[in-house]
Amino acid sequence: MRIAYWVSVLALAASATVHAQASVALPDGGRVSYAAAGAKTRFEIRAHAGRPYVLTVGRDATVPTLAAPTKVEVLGSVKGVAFILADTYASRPGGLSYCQAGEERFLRVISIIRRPARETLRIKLESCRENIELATPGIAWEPERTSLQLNWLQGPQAGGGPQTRTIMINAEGKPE
Amino acid sequence: MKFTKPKATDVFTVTSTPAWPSIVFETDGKGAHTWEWTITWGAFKKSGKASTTGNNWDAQTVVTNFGGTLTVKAQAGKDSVSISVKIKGTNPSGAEVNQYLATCTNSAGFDKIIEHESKYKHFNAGGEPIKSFDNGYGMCQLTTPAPSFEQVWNWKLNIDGGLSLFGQKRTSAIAYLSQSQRTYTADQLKYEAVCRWNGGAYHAWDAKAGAWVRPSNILCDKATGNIGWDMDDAENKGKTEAALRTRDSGSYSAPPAADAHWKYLGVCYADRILG
Repeated sequence: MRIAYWVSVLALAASATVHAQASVALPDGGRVSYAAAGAKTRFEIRAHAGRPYVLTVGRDATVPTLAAPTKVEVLGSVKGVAFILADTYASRPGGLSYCQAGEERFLRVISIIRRPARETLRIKLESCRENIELATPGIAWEPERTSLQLNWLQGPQAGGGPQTRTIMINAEGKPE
Repeated sequence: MKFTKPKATDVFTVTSTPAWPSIVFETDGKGAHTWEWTITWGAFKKSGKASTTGNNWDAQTVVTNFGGTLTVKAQAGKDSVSISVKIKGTNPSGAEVNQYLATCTNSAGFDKIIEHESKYKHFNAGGEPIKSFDNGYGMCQLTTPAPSFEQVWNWKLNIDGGLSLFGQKRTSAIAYLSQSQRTYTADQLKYEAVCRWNGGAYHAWDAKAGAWVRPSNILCDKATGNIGWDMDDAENKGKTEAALRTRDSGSYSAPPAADAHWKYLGVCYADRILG
């Protein structure tokens, strides 16, 4: 059975205060806590009983240096192998109120196959500063195939325009 | 050898057009001259060299689109002499800016952004380009990509830089509004592009009506530039604009906290800018 997790209706979102730690529930129990760590974001993933997986990931120059995620979503998971997260930030504003109300959103594949957990894929999903925009629907996760389908109205590849990408997560928690 | 003109204290002014002034350098030397010139303003710098058969040279052509401090070293035979003069700018009127924008394609809406944000101001009281805390220069406060020396001093080129960014938003707006072969009006495109300049989409698709509509759940604080409320938020539901402003305006001075029930909204920005 194909199960699609359309991000627009995903209820697994939470908000965070700058520098403060917030969290979001994992589909199979457990939580992902997140907070700004300087110019990076620190995730603490408590999947099941036992030690949490902790990792710090980078953003880019479109995000204000000390900004914490305003929202984190769990898009999917491969049990014992990987989590697929999407973290959203306010855009770094430019002159003339450019992107003052904008957002920057990243997709990350976090491999937990071994410790420490590590980010095996980072993709810009949406960006006011870089004019990247998902289509509707934009993200579909197929757990059986461990496959992620991304559809952009304006994609991140050079030239923009409609783009699609299919990402298979392998047994190592890496994208193929 | 010495300069007979100009005087070191001379200040030359770019008109609001903008047109650069004639700046004639002349020495009391004889014969062919070489003129090494450098113009600097802040971190911006440009230099070059010119030759004449006589003792005078007009720098107008080489300084066009630049301003700041112009230093010229004249050399005739073994004699040389240097002098520095200032070049300052003049703000255009709103009419001049709008007249220029009317000649630019796909600028609908950008005129209102400039009017609202910059009040057509490109130069400060001292005749130098305005510069924001984050190194945004001129009328369009260009930061990224970093503006050129020309874009900093020539307000028309500065507007061209801003329009390039606005054009990207307009392209995104067209892609959004025309998805699934949907149609839209010129006015909807203008609102969509201006909204996206600030952030986010203006319109939502009303499948029942078969038309793009402004989201009905957004209520704007009309006393601000782009602050508003999602009226689907249980904390906002049923409350008036005045009541929500009374509740929230104390926290407007900083970006909304995670537990805030107000937001910066491109929808409110477009409503404010375009009316």
